[in-house]
Amino acid sequence: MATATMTRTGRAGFTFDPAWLIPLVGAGVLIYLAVLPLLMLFIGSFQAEVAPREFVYTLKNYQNAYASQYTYSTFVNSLIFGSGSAILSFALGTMLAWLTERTDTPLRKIFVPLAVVPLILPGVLESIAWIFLLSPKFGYLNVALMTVFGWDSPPFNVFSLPGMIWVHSVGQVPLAFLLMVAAFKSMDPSLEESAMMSGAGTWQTFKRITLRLLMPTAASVLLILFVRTLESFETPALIGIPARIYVYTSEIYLAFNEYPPDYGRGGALAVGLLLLSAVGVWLYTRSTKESKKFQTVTGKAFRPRQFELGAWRWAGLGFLLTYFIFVVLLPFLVLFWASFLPFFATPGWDALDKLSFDNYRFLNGFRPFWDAMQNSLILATMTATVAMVLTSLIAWIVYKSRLPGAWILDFLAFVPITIPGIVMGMSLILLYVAFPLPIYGTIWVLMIAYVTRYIPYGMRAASGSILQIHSELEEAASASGASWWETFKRVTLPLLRPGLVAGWIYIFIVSFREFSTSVLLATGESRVLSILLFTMFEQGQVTVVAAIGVLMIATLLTVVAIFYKLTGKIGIQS
Amino acid sequence: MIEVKSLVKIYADGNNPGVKAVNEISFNVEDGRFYTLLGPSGCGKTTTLRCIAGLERANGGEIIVAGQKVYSANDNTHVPAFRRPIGMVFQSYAIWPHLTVFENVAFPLRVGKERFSNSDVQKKVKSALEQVELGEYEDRMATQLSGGQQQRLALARALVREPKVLLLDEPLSNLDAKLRERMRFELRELQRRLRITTLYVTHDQIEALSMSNRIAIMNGGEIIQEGAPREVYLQPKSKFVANFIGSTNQMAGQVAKIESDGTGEVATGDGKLKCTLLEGLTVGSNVVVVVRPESINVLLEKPTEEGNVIEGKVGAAMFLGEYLDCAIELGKNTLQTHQRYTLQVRRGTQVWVELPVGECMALPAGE
Amino acid sequence: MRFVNRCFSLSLPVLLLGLIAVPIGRGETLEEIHKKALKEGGTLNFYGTLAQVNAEKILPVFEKKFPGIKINHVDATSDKLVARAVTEARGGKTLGDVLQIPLENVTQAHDQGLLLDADLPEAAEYPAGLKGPFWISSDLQYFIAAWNTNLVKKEEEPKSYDDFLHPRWKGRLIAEPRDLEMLLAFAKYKFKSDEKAIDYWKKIAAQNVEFHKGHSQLAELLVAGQAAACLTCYSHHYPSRIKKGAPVNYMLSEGVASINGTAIFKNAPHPNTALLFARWVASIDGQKVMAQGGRNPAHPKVEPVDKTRTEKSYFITVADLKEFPKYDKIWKEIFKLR
Repeated sequence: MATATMTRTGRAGFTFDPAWLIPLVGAGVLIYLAVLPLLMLFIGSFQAEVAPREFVYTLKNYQNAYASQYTYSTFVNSLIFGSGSAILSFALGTMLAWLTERTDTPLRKIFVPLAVVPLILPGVLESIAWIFLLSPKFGYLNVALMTVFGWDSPPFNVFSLPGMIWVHSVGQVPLAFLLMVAAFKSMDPSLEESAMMSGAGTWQTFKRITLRLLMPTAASVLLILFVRTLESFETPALIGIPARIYVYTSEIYLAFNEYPPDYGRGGALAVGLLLLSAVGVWLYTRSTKESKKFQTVTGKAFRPRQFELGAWRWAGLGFLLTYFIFVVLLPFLVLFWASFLPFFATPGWDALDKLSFDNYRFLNGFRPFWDAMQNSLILATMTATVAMVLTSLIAWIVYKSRLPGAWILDFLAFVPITIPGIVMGMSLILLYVAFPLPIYGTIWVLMIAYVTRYIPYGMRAASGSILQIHSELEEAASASGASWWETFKRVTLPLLRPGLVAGWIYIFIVSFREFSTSVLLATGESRVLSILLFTMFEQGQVTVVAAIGVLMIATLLTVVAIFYKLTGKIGIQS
Repeated sequence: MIEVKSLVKIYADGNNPGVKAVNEISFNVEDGRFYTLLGPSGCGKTTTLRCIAGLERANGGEIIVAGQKVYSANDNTHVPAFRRPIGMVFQSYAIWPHLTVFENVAFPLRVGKERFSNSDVQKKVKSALEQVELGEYEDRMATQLSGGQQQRLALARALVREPKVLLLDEPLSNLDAKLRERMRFELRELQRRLRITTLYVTHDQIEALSMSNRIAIMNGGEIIQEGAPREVYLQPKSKFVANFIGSTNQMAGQVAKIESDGTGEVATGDGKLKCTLLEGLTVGSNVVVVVRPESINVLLEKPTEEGNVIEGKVGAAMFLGEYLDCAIELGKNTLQTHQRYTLQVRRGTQVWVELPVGECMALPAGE
Repeated sequence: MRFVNRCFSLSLPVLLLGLIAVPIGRGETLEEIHKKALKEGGTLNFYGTLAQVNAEKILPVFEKKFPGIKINHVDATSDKLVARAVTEARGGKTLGDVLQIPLENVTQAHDQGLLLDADLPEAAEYPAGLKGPFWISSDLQYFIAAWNTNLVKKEEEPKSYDDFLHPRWKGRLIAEPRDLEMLLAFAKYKFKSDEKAIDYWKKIAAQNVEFHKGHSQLAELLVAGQAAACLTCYSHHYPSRIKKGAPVNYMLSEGVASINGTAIFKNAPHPNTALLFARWVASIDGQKVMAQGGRNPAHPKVEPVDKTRTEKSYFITVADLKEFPKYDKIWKEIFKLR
């Protein structure tokens, strides 16, 4: 009653204004999600267990982690893996982006959506598919090349550092491609045109102008690819560990998963990886700010001029075709093929007799598969929904409320981007195994992990669309008598919908395929598909794994298609 | 209906101490009147409007709307925007693209404190749309309307709640010239018909002059001059006002003589001129004499009557359709004049200019 | 006085019952325990290395036999499972009910004070080597050699481990990097000499063995033709693959046998359910189901469904477990493993 009176007379002072409560709650939620686990991790990294359940504080963990006989090899492996993958995926991504965006290569338009297709192939499956293709003795590509050229030894070995780099890069190309397409699009074509007018040929212009102009962006893209590689665990788990090539993520995983578990050492390694990633992200944001400064015109999308490649455009087409057949299509095909085999067999006519639906029939009655499928679907849906609701509120506070201290929310919502998945998993185990909330070992802890990890993605989608909304649209609602909540509900939220839908789908996909956090958190009844894939692959059921993979991809495609269809109808006409 | 007393609004950002966007301004809008805040961009007129709307919270002073104290620094009153009895039209119209024409207008009825039955909503929205001649468009998506239609839609939305006060923030600035002219007229008619108290913000002097009952000219967060359109146009009290409203000629000089009827003589580089003097000027004060181009008569023969007549020759003559823009070079000054296009002159033609005493204002030279 | 005495004599057993609590149920039938188990919520958290394909044939049988109980199978490799239990204990929680992993890892969990001493009536029928105070053997696994029949000619098929010293195997062998049991068992039971065993494995190391983690994966790699032969595979991985037509075969002349044990967690959230499962899986009935699920039963009276027991078996005993660290070190040195 008192509140109502006060609101009506509008006395400020200590008025209970809900608009003030929201940022506080937001900050609280973000601290709980992003900061608390890291705090646990940090504390854990200084603890050592002297007797069962007895701890002392020590620096020994850091000594074990960074001054052991393996420190050097892990460091070198990580460095080679990270930079190799960054460079390779950058090169492929840039080439694709350039050919499809900026040249007159035939058929380039169809390749734009195709270049993003690998996004729906979960990292675990990517690794498995390439093991099928590039295993030294039985990999299809190796066998094919050995047969065709009559070689005695296989040309490729996936169980090696170059193998890891290749597999990881191929999975990361879509990201590099998207970033570079954006870079090409924001480039002022007149800069290149003036080079042409000065007498520079296509190649000269590309080399002397285009590439130079791209330099700042390229540096930041390379950096982010490097950091993402260091944080990844799919390839290190499926290829690195069997090949006994260890990087930081696999060291952390093993510290946690081998007897005796060494949380202290794992924690110390995780803190290091976290710092490394934080520095990388910091440099990235700094360098993108820097590159904005040099951008000739910001925000505007140009209609970029096309380089005329002449006869070389057929070479461009050749590159595109080769890339799509061998890098995009082949992994899907080999999974599809293997899913009909009783066991993995070298290709040949005799293998045709063995083809059957047995694996699918088996899965039909295989309860763990259906449980995992259910978990994955629930988790992806919930994560995408919770994350988008949360981030749209936060983004609204940050960009619209003009409340003091809103930037703290912005910062907090950005923190999770620095947390590698495996570090997140580890921190949450440490937190929730002792936390009064009984969610350890359930899918709820996974949901918390996913939501936290994908808050930055949600923020990007939400803030992008929020910034596009003219503030007068909201003020008009206010001037029409709508309270802040009604304004948000009836005006802001519906206007945000297209951006939020895009964010939702993206988070749905990445949650559905998530691996590196789940690998520590998901077991038993909380097992998700990516983890079922991993354990069954470890247990040698490789062709069943292929069948699960096929169904997983099919599910992902179906859900995304349905969602697009549904929201397309209620979306905004503009 | 609207009372603004010593309103202050300070914008502080980060470590800046703050800029006074609105500096202690006061004015009254009487019931049913059309009141305009006119000024260049950044003069604080929109900020004032937004403070009245409740979209900004002022830092000092008091605002009373329809007898209700909606803001007061003294007792810390701030009624949020959605509780104020106002309707507002925004510069961008702020038409919600996700709603139909009907739903855009129905919105204020659906969200306010007062709830309306469905049939009431229907009735009110329809009548509001009729008023702005959009009756047949109610099922369209708002984004399918043209600019002028969106503008009218915004108006219907602002009026549907039957607010006590209508606030308009440069509503015509996004329309093309022809449409703007028509809307000016329509808006004024609508306001007269509804007799709704209206506060209008614009930087366009023609809009201000043609529509308002009263105009307040603002600059640097302050009201420089307030009065009826004719008054501010013909009797600017400062160089700024004279410059800002309409184009004007300025001739520097000193007051030579002051008469008891408020007129006097000013010595300029081109001879003595009889002028209306602004109060407070003394003999010897540095002044500028301002005179509107359309006030000046250009004569081919020296007139016989006494008055401000100066000899000169035509510097340039430009035919602009409605009138002839004719620059007359005197000894020191060049005067811009608007003449009927029947005047037959060429560059170099010797002419006499006549400056009517009542339309020459002597204003302090400073500032 | 008498009253106090009576109270005491009454309360002592109750008190003891409460303290030692769960292992009782000795005299009870499985049906009686089933009733108690149902009151615990009907869930069993089963921490076991059982592969999904085996588990699918074993666990549902239990669920069907004891309706109302659902098994939550937390599956991972054995060291991951122990690590997980330790982690949970560190957080002050016990989530697992039953642990079923290789004996070596069972003892690790016991060292951490995680396991309950349980004396099951079913244990009476097991020989001394297949049971202990806190565990009972669930099944046995045999480390054997296997080969790809496409890559190994009939006449070159190995008859014993000594055959692998032949130069024809150079660069064609795979093994699991953690199988120090091979070295230990060869030292203790095949050669009965550390030197000879070390010498044997050093010669094997000279054949350039390729290592891959996980026995199932080894089998799969062998099927796919990654190598000609596997030195440390599990025998129970092969019959099912051969039935499907996989080009592999395995050697049953000699092999190393190791024990998988079942144990009950101390402070298990569902103590009676845990007991029910532990007793059932140790019973003849449960062991038959294990056999049908493709495992090698430990119960002396139950035969495996497929031929998975070797003619000469070198058993790793409980006593041998203590020497694991010593042989682990030598094993890693021989193969330059990490």
